[in-house]
Amino acid sequence: MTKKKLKRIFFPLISSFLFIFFISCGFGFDSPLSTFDAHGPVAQLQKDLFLFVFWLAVVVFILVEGAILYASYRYRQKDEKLPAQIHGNTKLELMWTILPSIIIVIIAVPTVMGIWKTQVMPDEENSLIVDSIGHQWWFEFRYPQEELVTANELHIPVNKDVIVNIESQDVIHSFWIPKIAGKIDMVPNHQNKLWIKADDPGIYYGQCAEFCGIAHALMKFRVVVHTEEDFENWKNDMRTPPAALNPGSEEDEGRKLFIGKCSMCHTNDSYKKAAYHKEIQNQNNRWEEWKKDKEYSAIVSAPNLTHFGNRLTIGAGLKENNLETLYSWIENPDNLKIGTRMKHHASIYNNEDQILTSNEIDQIAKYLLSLKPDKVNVTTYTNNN
Amino acid sequence: MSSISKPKQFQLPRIFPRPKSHKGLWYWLATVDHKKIGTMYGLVSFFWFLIGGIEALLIRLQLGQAESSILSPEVYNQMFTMHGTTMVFLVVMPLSAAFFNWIVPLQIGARDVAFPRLNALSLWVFIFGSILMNISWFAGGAPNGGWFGYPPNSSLGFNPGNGITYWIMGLNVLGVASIAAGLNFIVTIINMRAPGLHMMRLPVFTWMTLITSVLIVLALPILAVAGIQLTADRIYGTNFFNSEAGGDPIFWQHIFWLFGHPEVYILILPAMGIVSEVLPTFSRKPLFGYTAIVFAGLVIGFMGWFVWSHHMFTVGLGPAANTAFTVTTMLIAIPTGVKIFNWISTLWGGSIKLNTSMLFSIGFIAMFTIGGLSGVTHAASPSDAQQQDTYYVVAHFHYVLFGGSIFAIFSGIYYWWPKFTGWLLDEKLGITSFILMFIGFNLQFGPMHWVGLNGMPRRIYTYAEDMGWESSNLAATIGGFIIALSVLVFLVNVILSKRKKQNAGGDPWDARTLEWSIASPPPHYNFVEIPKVNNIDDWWYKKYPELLEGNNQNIKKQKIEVEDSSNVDESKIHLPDLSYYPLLIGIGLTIAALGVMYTYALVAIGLVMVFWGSIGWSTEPVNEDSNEHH
Repeated sequence: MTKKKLKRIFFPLISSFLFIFFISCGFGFDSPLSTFDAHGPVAQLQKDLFLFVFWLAVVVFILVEGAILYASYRYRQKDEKLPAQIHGNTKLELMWTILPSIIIVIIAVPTVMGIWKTQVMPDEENSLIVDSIGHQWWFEFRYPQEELVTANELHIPVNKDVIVNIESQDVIHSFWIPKIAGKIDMVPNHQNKLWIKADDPGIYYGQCAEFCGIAHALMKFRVVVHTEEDFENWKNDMRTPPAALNPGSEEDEGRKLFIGKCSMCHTNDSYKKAAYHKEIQNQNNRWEEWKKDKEYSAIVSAPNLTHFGNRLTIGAGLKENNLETLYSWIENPDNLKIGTRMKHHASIYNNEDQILTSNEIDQIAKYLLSLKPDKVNVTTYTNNN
Repeated sequence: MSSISKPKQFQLPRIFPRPKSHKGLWYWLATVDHKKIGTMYGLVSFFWFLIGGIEALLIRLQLGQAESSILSPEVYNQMFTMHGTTMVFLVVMPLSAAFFNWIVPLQIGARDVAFPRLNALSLWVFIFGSILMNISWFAGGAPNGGWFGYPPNSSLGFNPGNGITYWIMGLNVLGVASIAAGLNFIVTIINMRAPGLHMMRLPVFTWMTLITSVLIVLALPILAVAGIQLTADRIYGTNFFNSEAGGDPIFWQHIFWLFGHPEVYILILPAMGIVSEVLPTFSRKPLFGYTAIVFAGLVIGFMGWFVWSHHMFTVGLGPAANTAFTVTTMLIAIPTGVKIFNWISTLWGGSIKLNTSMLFSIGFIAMFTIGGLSGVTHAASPSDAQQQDTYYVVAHFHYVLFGGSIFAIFSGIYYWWPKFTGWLLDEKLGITSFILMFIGFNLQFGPMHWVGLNGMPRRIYTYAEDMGWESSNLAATIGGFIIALSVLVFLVNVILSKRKKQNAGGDPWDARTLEWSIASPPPHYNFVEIPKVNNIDDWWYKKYPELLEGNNQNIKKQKIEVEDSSNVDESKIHLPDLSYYPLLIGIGLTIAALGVMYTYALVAIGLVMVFWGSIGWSTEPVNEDSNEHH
């Protein structure tokens, strides 16, 4: 085989490979779900371990691929003579069994240490405990120590160990905040624990990572990491009732509609004392109702909407929370997210007599946006992540 | 065949007479010839390869840009489920089986496999099983639970409709085909080797077939158990995995991956066998470290049973289980590395002919290495918690199963094509299709590493514009279409080369193993005389006997011709006659499986056919009673 012909084959192969490699590098790691932008010790450990294995792999990659290219080029057929007939070499076999074994040990030690570091939970007494329950297709968050409950928005203080008890009510989901910690699955009838800790205040993205049905792609959440002080304020906010509405205002009309059409499934007053246990009971009842009649049940599990006006997003981390998106959502959830139980079960969508007028939708949306604590304690959500 | 006349046996009355001609549709439907069966395996699974490829292209089109709506979410879910299932069960496994069928009997100097009718049964059950699974597209929707089918998402409560049931019934029927084929090849390789061909003289492809077959026989029944349990959950109201009634969905994951991980080796070991044939042939020197490669294959096949939970690192099995499976998973890198180093050493110092087949094999080593290395990064389970269920994993296993298995299968196609047909494929078009496939493959799956580390989860039908995933996905989509182009070039190559029919002769590559010592295509009885084997790579040393004397300089090739089969008295060669019963049982089994979803009447009809076929099969004489055969 001539050199020229060989170049014709190898040039496009190598150049395309390198080209792809370099443009891919240019794609960057700027996603809000990037695993390379660690803001917590767990994500940091996982990233460091990955990079350690990765660079070792790069060395092996260069040696192996280099050897393949060199051999293919250097030993290309030049004449009809038979090359030396070599059957093997025991020393070499031993070498390339033992050397990789050593590399494996070098990788295995920090890996196993990492497993125990990340998967052994911190002391419960000094940690914030959060229960997170996966639902098709949203996340519920409960704070048993604080007796608070919310949905699709996890609030935690910075620099504090948080133990998340993870479960699912329906199918398997996965709880994942790439910038803070790797994922763990949310499995019905199993309780998992995940240790998370955030180094910097800010807003982080969470995402379901286990295929869970039709709206899997749209099952997200946000994590708000507060300063210690802000977190105390947030907790107080969550216990403060919203301001009273002016009778006859749009919001007040919305409130009446909400009570009639929405409140069977959506709780919005968990700021009250003892509301926490009641809400857990309610969610369980909703689930049992739905299980009894999956097609026509009038009641289904639904996100808690307490202080919804303060939420950053709607539709489980899907869109910014404002009047426009909220209107669109209430008008028809399918506009933003396919498959919701609300769309399938709520009478405002499947009973012609109860379909909302655009005015009514507007009133409900305005009411929901008015759901904010009377005296706002948290001043800002820093949005730098 | 004894010449003593036997007492008259009971026989089912025949509806169709056995065809006598060796041509025509009826012959193909009743053939028990391993080569014809191999050809049909190849054609049918290549058809599914095109279908699975189209499914992949649709997926890529949908993901090519943010928030596109080419596929609805439901159809997207069906698409990726069927793409995975098709490529695993209807493409790589049966394409490997096509090679097993064609090549193994030829490599061991046999006239056929040990159980030719069972072999035909495997073929027909596979064909009808593959159709059964795809009927679902037209019967209310294809399966949509992923190729792994995790309950409770695949349970009736969350997934009404027949899609998932089609998927399970299809897998169960296909499992019958695979298990029967696996048993057949184990017995064939153990029992039917030519005299002198002891185990450590077996060609590596045959070795890998043996290991794969053992894995199939052990692994597929596990899937069958899981499948039957899920069927029972869905149809008869049991609660094995039904979490709503306290069932355990993790139980499914353990069983599925206990099957699923050996399955990965079922997909890759035949590929390793193929490149172990191609590399020495076109390097013109023996496979480096034959014993090491065989033992590495055995070790991989064995250790493949102890790593399944690395698919479940994020399930929450606890640090102890994760540590154990991390370590066993990492250990598998060692025998895999041994193979790669031996293949490179086979190239080293050779006289390398870079034709299409060889390029695909070298491409296999290069790409499989990348897949292996990214596999080690997963094995580090803490960081796998970030990669699990992201596109990084998609990139990894496509480097293993496409850059690995599919590259090797194409290498095998180009390598054995002249043996299958008697004519050669065009090299220029071949090299073009290789270059296109290499570029397309890397463009499609390379950026997936990046986008996965950048947080893109798998199995999402859409993503928002502000996620930073658009350029990688666009690149991947373009890559997908370049792959499609390369497959098109291959098909054009087949058509054009068929017109030219450039005669290949029996041994076009100056190759090493027994299949090259006979005519191309081989006569239906393969060998005029069963060869006597004195060496590993026996055919090679028959051509170059001086090598055996340790002479390494100025070797001359002996003039030795492939077996001449033009003047053979075929009546002296005993081969089993044709049989319709495997076809009948294949159809019956599929109808019964279909009936499970609809009506017991169909089950009854199907079972009657299976029963009738079995009785007919066991009572029909292997050969029609005719005196000239004695």
